[in-house]
Amino acid sequence: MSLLKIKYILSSYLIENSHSFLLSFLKRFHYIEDDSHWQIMTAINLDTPLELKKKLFLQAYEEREHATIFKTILTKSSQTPFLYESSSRSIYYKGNDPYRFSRLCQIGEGDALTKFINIYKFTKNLDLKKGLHQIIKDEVEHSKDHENSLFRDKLYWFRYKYATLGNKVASQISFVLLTFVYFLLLPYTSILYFLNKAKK
Amino acid sequence: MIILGICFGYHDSSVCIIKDGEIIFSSEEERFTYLKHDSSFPLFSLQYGLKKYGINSNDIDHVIFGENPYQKFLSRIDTFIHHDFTSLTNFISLTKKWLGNNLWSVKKISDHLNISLDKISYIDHHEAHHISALYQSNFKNSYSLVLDSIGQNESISLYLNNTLIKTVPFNNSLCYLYSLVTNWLGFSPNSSECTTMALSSFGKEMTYNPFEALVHFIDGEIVINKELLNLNSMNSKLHIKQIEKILGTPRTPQENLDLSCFRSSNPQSHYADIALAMQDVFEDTIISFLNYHCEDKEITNLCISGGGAHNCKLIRKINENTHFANIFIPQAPGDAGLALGAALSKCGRIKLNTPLNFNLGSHVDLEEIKDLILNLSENDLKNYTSDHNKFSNLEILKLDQVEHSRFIANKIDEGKIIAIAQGQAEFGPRALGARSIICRSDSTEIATKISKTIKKRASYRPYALSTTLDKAKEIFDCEHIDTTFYGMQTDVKIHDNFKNEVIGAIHIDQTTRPQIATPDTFFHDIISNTKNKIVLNTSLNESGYPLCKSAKEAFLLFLKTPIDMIILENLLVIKK
Repeated sequence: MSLLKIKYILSSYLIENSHSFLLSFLKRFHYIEDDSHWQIMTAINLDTPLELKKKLFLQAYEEREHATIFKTILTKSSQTPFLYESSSRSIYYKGNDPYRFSRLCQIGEGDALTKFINIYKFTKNLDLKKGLHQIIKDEVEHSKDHENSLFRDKLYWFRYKYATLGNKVASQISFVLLTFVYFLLLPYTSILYFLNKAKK
Repeated sequence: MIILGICFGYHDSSVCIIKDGEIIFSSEEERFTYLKHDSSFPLFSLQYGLKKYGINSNDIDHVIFGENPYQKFLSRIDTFIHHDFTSLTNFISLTKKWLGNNLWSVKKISDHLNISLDKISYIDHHEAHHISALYQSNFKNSYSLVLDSIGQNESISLYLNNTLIKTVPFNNSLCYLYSLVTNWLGFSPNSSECTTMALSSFGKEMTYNPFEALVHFIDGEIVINKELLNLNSMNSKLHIKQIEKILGTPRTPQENLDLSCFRSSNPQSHYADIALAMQDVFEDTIISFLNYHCEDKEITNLCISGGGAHNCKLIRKINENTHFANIFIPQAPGDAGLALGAALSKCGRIKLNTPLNFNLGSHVDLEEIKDLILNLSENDLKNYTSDHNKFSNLEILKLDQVEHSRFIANKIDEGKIIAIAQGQAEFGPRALGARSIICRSDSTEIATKISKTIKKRASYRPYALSTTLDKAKEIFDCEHIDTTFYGMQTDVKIHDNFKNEVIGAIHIDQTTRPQIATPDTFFHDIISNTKNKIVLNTSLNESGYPLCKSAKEAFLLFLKTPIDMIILENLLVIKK
């Protein structure tokens, strides 16, 4: 628990003191909220029971509002234009049980809420504090209707959350390897290039 | 025979399905993922298209990828070795992008569709652009201009029918320069070039145009001064620095531009002057290029494709300053159109005299949320209201088409803002009545309300209008109406005496981007029943999001913003 607290204090410190960290934080959270909105909208279909459909539709609406809040602060803080980058989408629950999907969404929301509350506590960035206040208010209001999540749902969410960790590690390893290859190749290729030029 | 066109990995990935010579589905992936300009594998649009039209992998006869990945890879490697070898970041991004992804595009298609590799082929990037235009154009004899930022390695290609007659390499790319200026102006590059174009109308001609020293047209060649802007390199950070050296400190996105289309006078803006300088050089150079290379003056038809074809001011200038009498632009001239071009390359030309069909995208799929719409209580609706969007209930009407169009037209005349989601969505960037927001065109108040509370866009960006052919002939100050007037692909001046009828949909320079509605359609019926036979027409989306795909996205936008009513197929939902 105290480790997590240190993480949030560190994040808040970096938000205050590193502009690039603030921008990447805002961008990441914009994409997370926007992805939740997309996951829910994609899950709503002909077979979704009416009451659940109502609940999911409202939830999608709020997630989109939250994504907009982060994007607005991002645009306000950034010195450069917003770049549309494709962060590819993948559906996190492919089963046919809409109630299970809803429970998974609640776990995701709860997870995000903990982060938001902690960043809210420690951050001194006024725009971010104001935006987070609105988001936390909505999420707390939501959590009143939450059903108890099952252990298997928590496990499913945990697996989904850390599934991308492997990719991130692989990306860092490939970065190191490519840097190594680059410095290995650079002198040889440069010599070949200049020799070739001299021949001509 | 079923042919599939696919494009991904660059900008705007897309899918196109042609069945027995007829284009039945074509859509951008962004509509399905809500990620503007999504370039990832078009999985969701592909799944949707195949499911909707009952097509299995076994039914597909051929798949064509709208890019030659191997040639492009070699070209990038060549550029890297000769011009960017000292940049580690370029090396890493190049190897990660190509060895990690783009080089395996054909294999990826095979894996996703579960079909053998011998059913998959690919086509050159510019050729796909060119075919997407020429094969749909109904022209027997035509020049075809591809105006792109970068293709395989070219930025501009000019064809005479199917013969390539001239190319301009990337290191002299005008469209890329335009994107750099867009970035310098604080707008998103590869996305907001039309904002730069809109801004240019507020500009005053500069005594010294900085782009005249940068861009030259010499003996038929477009040349960019490499000492000022080194486009031999692919290092975009270097290019941004070089542009800053030429133009000075860039504008930051939050810097306010106090300009409005709805005011008769505006303060002078240095940024608008720069935008105008860029637009002028862009137009002059392209016109010189066409006049020089299109030697056969008997051929008066011109197809234009590539991202540069979105520049509607350029299209009008080409019309006015070259010998071309008929210009044709496909539905999606940018990279989203590559899938369509690729598919057409296999199936051949569309039958002559077939009108251009813009409505090739996703269906409304109202049934998905019909029960929700019919059962939202006052208590449910409270959650969606805000200070600028007050309502307590919804009235739902089912009307037949004739009643429907008259009823809607009356509401438009009363000043209501109406959203439409009807039939298949538009393929390409323009909303043409299938996923549109419409209202009266003679009110700047309503236009300002849409800008501030629905679209959240800057007041220097004008709106487009839709009208009937008869009315168009009356109000447009032009001699000839070609197909570009049916898809908001050109701009046109409005006669002074009609200015008040279109004051909400006119730019500061008295031009508008027009759509002449196709007769015998519901949208045409609505327009022809309004008092002026003109409506302001803008896309059904919010800033930063692509056009709404289906009823659920459209209905959410309707609840979220102060749109007064929405048409979802035969259902009319009104806020009370």
